[in-house]
Amino acid sequence: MAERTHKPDYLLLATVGSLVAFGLVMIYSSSFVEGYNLHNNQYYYLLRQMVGAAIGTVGLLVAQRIDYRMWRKYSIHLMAACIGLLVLVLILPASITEVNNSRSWIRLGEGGVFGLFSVQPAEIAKLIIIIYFADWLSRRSEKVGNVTYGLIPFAVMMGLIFGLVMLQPDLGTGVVLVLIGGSIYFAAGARVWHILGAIGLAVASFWFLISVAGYRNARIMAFQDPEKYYSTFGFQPTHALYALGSGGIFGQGLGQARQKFQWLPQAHTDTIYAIIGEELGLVGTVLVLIAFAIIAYRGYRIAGRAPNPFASLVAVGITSWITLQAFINLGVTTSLLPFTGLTLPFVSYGSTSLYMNMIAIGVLLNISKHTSQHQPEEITDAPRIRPRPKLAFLNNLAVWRGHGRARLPGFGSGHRYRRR
Amino acid sequence: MNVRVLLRTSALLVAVGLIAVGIFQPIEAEGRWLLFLWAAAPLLGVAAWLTVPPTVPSLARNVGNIGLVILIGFALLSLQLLRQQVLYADTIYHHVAVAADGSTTSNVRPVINSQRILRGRMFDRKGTLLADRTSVQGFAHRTYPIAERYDPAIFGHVLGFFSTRYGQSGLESFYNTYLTGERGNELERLRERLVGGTPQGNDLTLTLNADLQAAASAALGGRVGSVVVLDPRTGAILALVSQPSFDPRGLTFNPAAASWEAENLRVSQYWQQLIADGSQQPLVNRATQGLYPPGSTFKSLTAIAALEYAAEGQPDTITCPNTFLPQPDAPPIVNAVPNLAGLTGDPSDLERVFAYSCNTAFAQYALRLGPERMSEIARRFDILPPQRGTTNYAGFRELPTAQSLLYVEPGFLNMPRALADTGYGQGQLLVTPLHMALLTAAIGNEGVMMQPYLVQRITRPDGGQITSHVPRPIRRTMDTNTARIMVQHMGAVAAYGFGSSVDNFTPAGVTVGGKSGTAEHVPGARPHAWFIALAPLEAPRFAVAVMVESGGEGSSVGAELAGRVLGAAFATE
Repeated sequence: MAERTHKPDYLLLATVGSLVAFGLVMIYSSSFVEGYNLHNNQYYYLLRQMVGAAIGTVGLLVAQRIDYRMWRKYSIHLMAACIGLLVLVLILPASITEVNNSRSWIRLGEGGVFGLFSVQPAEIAKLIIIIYFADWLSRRSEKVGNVTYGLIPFAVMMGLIFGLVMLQPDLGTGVVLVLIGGSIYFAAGARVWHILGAIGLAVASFWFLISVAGYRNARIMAFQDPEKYYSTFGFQPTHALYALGSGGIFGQGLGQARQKFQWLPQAHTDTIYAIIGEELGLVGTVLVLIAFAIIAYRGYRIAGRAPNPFASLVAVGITSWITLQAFINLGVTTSLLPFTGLTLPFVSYGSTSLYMNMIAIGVLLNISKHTSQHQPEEITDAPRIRPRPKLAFLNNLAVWRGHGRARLPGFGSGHRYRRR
Repeated sequence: MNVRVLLRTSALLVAVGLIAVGIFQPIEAEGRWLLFLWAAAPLLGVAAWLTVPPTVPSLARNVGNIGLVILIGFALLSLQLLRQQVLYADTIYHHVAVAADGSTTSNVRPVINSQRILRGRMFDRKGTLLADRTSVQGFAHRTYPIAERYDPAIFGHVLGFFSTRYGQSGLESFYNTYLTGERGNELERLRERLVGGTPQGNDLTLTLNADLQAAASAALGGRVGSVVVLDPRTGAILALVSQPSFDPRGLTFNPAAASWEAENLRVSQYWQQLIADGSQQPLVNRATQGLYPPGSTFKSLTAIAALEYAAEGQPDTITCPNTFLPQPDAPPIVNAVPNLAGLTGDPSDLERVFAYSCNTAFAQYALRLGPERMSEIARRFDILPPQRGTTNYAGFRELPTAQSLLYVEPGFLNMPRALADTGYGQGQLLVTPLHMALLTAAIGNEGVMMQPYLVQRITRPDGGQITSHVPRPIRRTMDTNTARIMVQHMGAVAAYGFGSSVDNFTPAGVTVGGKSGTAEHVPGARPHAWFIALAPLEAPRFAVAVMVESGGEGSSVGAELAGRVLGAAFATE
């Protein structure tokens, strides 16, 4: 049965596609002021993001055709390359890598065609650690609960990646990496007290980090009282709040945000959600939230029905990555969490982030082709009439050719059922 | 199984309760709401976890649990969005954040909206256009057409400034909602909201007489001080001058300027100049916010008290000794002029001790009346003891107005010397020039104190009237007879007393009354010159209070200024 494949999860694909398209619109809306001011080109950020979206689309289509088991074969190689890239970003001259005091980028040039393209190794690392840990943990399903063979090697590997990212420094990405690793580890069957101990250790080390790195400490304080620290770190939350409050229920209209006129910093990256809130109101913000909820639902459903533990863990990792990062970004914008720089998947500006997210969705879609249609307890002996899926119309959309075989529209589901 | 249901229900109830209480916390208590929200999150998790029937640990179940955590996180986000975009959206929109160093931040949206609105115009009582507005490329610009005739700074304190950066003052501030059209023209706002259009504010017609205001300012010259002219019959403020003043044009951003940066710089430089040390505080409206000892002008109140309580006060049985010792352990009270008894006669009466401003006589009246009666009479004029007073005077709200005080330290009047000092206008009295004008007007209006006002009418851009001020009495402060006697006594001041130069500038045949005041404030410094005046005495149309900071003698400096103001009032009527 695992060898037989079926159609990928079209709802997931449609949601991601809508988010990417919506993101391009919002990026233009939120960045034309800054693009014009800094680069004398209002399309500056939109162009770069479109390059990312193009790469991402190709990447997604390719990744969903590559059998997920292929990744498993190269998990060690990928991890080595990932560590290499993370070290490279620290070694290369600052002129190539440094933006906003963080050495996170490898840029191939400022202007010209290559200026449209840059690489953020930490974004690539997110997908690679998912594959690596999924492979590693699925190999030792019995020993995951064991301290010596499970917890310690896992913690060492996690710590190495986290440490490399923290040297850039990029706390937000580091936290997401740990959360991704943690969710895979939990899904693989970790002992609850290991997880609790790890959380305690993480909180302690987090506290250590923020008290050593003074600026993040100030950010925590700014989170507690944004107005008091207005001129320094409360600036962003205060203006994000103004943007959301001004939007109200129906928003001020697309393109009508005021906070993007150099009031709200990083309007097109970290705080794009605030601009969505000001322009499209609660309607827009809730729709984005629903889109991520759909991704979470479909992603974890794929994980739950995956044909083997490796596929399941990869699906968990990818879904957790996207939804947790979205949660942190939205939480930060709505002052639910302390301020930290993280992009909103598929929507925020950041081409590496965009195409890596899309490639990850490609991998997830490939796994969705191999899922078992029913969970074991759903199968009964009685003859069963398969209900027509609510979103079956998506099967008729001409965007997807399946396996290249012609399909008869309208008879899709029944036809498929008989064939199986 | 029952335990599970019970646990689940209670966790859910506690979580819902926490959220319900927290979500209505005011926006200033954001920290408390976040605490409640995060406290509710694990409870929601427990409730959801207990809902799912227990199964054997499996990968699918672990995945389900992770999904549950994400679900709760999204629920928290939804609640936060509900609070920020629905429940408190309006509060956040108008919220002004104050930083630790006192700097403030507000939402840029209402600020920009305020720049688009064509604010209402302001006219004086004769229809002279004081403040107008023009539209420059969609941006409204406040202009002052009165500048063609007079310096707009003369009107600065009354009209106030309108600045997108520094806010509003004066009538611009008090009538902001009318001037923006937010109030009074709701239908039009609704129409604009639906079909668009430039919002236009409502016009104000003031009680001010621009010519009198300019003449009063000219009479004050470059001196620091204030002039208030009221119509005693209605309480209408005809002139209200406070110097030094500011030019509202200096703080008004002109969108037609070639360089907006230079324009912003000009505005901020003017602001810095206004608030600089040594600028003599031109933003303070001395006529309504300046608290000064009233000096001998306050003797009119003591005289009213003596007339109202004639049995205790015995107004016409009085002497005017050179010194008077109310308290053995305190220095004696002396008159400003030696051997005043030669002028007042001995024994004297209220008219003559009032006309010649005899300190020792009024000290005796105050002691005869006692602290309770003095306080009671002062309270009729809204001159309050500190325990009862608020910071702002409630009788006049259109401009920021300080509450006049009978004394500062509680129990002050219980000392005989303090009571005696208060009787002739020193002690711890702190009075605004507007308040002395109100007292004068009450005498002129047969004892009824009218509520002062500056805006006669508010009209829509199409000319329709929104409101019109109807004169309102504050209260009857004294008997009609007392008021008539007081008018006579004030007439005696102008006829033969100290301050007889007050009628030098009024048209022939107009009878004038008044009372001078020379208020000591800092030992050794020149005293403040005061004068209150009424004219014409038969049926007073003008009540004047003038005050020159460290100006000198009230009977000369004050009387001349008041006389000139009265002259202008008749000339520009």
